[in-house]
Amino acid sequence: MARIMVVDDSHMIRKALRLYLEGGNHEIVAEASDGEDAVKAYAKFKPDLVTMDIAMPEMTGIEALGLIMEMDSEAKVVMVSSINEKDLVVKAIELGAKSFVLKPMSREKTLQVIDEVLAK
Amino acid sequence: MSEVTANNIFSEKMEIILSSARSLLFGGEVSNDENIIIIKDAENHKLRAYSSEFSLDQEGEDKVIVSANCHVISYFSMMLFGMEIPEGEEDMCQDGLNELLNIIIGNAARDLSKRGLDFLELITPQVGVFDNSRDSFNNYLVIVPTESGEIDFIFSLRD
Repeated sequence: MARIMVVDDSHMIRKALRLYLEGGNHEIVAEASDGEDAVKAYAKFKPDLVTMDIAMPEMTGIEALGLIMEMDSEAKVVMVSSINEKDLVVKAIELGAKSFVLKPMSREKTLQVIDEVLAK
Repeated sequence: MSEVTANNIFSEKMEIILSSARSLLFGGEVSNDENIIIIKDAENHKLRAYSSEFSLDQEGEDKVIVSANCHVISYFSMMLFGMEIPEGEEDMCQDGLNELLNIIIGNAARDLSKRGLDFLELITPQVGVFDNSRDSFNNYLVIVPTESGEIDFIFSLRD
């Protein structure tokens, strides 16, 4: 079981990810709806893994990822993206994201990616 | 208002986006076009309970608005994310519709790009505010029937 933080501006997506991850025996230690709150929550909760939406208001997932990686170069961040965000996913991987899942994400694929990243 | 046939869609953008929508809404199978109603000059169309809008060009002038009621959105939330929208959490209906439009546009972007119709920067869908007073725009209402109810697409495109 891992301690996971879910970051997405959509309440619905946060809830779906919580269902998937708790069903996979992981614990959700924090949720954040924008990049700034995500960075603060990362510092406070030090989760084992973060799922990070890319497109969010105020501070984007890419910016938040950069700040989290500065804070903790070992951070495990999985980006959650739409298919039209391919260039941004590449940028996120360059910044240190460990993997990504595409929306609409299935429970099985999400857990598979997260378990692979946790096992690294 | 006047009806046009699905084979007489004048805009390439509209055709590609509708194709993406039908593919997603019908589980990868494109539905019979005869079931889809297209109405031209839809300036006075009233939006359903939830709506979301996406700009189709860099200037933000051409737009698509998707509009649906919560039980329809909940059905697609279940289909796409394995989760119905619980009673009392209606804010998730707007989120669900935004995600639906985002996925439709994301899938359409590949085909639009292939045809040289690149328009996308990273834009999050906005809560729809259909401005029906714009001159020199064609407004098409496309009503897509689904198992759970109808979804409206409104295309507001320059002449």
